[in-house]
Amino acid sequence: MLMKLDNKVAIVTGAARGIGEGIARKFASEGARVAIADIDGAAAQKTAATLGNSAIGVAMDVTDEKAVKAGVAEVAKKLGPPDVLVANAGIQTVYPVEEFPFAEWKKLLSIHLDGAFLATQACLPHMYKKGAGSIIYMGSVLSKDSAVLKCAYTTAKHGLIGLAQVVSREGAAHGVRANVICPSFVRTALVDKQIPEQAQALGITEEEVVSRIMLGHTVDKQFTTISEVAEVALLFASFPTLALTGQSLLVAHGAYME
Amino acid sequence: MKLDGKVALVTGAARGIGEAIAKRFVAEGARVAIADIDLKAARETAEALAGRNTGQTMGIAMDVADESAVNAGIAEVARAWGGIDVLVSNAGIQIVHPIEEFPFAEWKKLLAIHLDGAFLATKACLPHMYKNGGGSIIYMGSVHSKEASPLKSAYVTAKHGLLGLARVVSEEGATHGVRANVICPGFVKTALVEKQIPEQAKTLGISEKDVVEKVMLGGTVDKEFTTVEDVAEVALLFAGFPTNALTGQSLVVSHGWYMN
Repeated sequence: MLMKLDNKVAIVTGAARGIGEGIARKFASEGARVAIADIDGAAAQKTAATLGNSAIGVAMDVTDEKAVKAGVAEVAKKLGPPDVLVANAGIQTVYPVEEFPFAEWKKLLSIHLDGAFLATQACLPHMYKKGAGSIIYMGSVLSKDSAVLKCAYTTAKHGLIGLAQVVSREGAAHGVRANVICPSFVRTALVDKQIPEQAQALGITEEEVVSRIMLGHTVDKQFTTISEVAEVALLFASFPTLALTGQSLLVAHGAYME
Repeated sequence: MKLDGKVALVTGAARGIGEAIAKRFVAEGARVAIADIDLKAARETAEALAGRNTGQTMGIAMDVADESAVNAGIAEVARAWGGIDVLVSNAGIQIVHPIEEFPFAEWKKLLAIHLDGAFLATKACLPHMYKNGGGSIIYMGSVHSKEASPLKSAYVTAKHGLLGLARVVSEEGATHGVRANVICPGFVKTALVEKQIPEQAKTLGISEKDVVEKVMLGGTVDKEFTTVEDVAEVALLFAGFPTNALTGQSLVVSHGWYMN
């Protein structure tokens, strides 16, 4: 059977671990040649080595214009020009607004928003030249909803929706699609780290953080899984027409319904 | 194949979007019941889609606004194939009038087909799905589940209403493994849409070309109609998705007309 991403080149940022890694694996299993971009170059190489299918690891600080350009150029040279970009790199930082250090606000926005912008900007010329491409931004339920302590993350994730919509308008004439995946809590290292942090900040138990804050609004008290997110990424990456461009899809066990 | 061993029922499936979804499901291995108010057309479509695999489809008569007809049709499918795994509540009509001229009977008719139809089919399928411990219910929404257009008060109201229904079904169905989602296409060039072009041209006092380019495709990113195949691909995603991660959601399939 023909695989869904045969002969495609995909770049996934923040792909050494977690959701990015899961997407990269799914893409590789569907025939794509995948570049694992990560700020931790050694971890990127290590993950790439386990993927096979000529996957490569690339060191990339997504907030550094030169690094992003150089990384995308390296991928284009080694694997061919990118057909799919997944702008996934992200961090989480939690504070009440009045205590949020400005430097941390700027850092979070830079990784999520500058990172998505720079990777998009570096990939678009390749995609425009081919007359096709798929750009997928990693949003969140917090692209639609909000949560206490997460003003920077909520702002950044909302911002990605705006960016995706503009890219879908500008890219349409060149066959380039843009979409946002909006997962609810996925049990990654990034989420595990939040459990004690939030318990302390909110003065509740870690168990309550999980059952009330993280899963309270789901229909089935289940964490979203990496493979569920990867399945949706595959849908957007492989969809054959522009019919889905500009859209976001929540992968959230009902935590927010749209 | 993604729907191997599954039983699906698609309402309004003799033609158009419903037919394309049925076709896609058949290709992925499902047994598909083609329900339509027009029994003859349902049987013809069922036969055409099955090809040599007779027994993979059946055509059944179903006026989705009639409780006993819906119950009887779904019972027939469940009896023949042992249950129902996927329901696509797709049957719909369009009626355009300015509100002040909208005949109440036509308003009621449209709401009955879209909303009563979705409710009745859901109600009749759920016991089978609950018994099986799983199921996928897909409602055919529209960009008009999110946005409004003049002349379409009944359609916009009904399509918005389906989002509410889908969310409640996803809440109630979760413990039984039943998912509910809404597909929201932009203009798809089906008979239902073709019919609107001269109607809207007349009502709005513009050319048919302007109806297509400005009213129907003006908001898209590429001036393209959505196709029945685009919609069927998304229906397959929701029907085949293995977990509750995608429940309660709607996905707009519209070439960028209304970005959600």
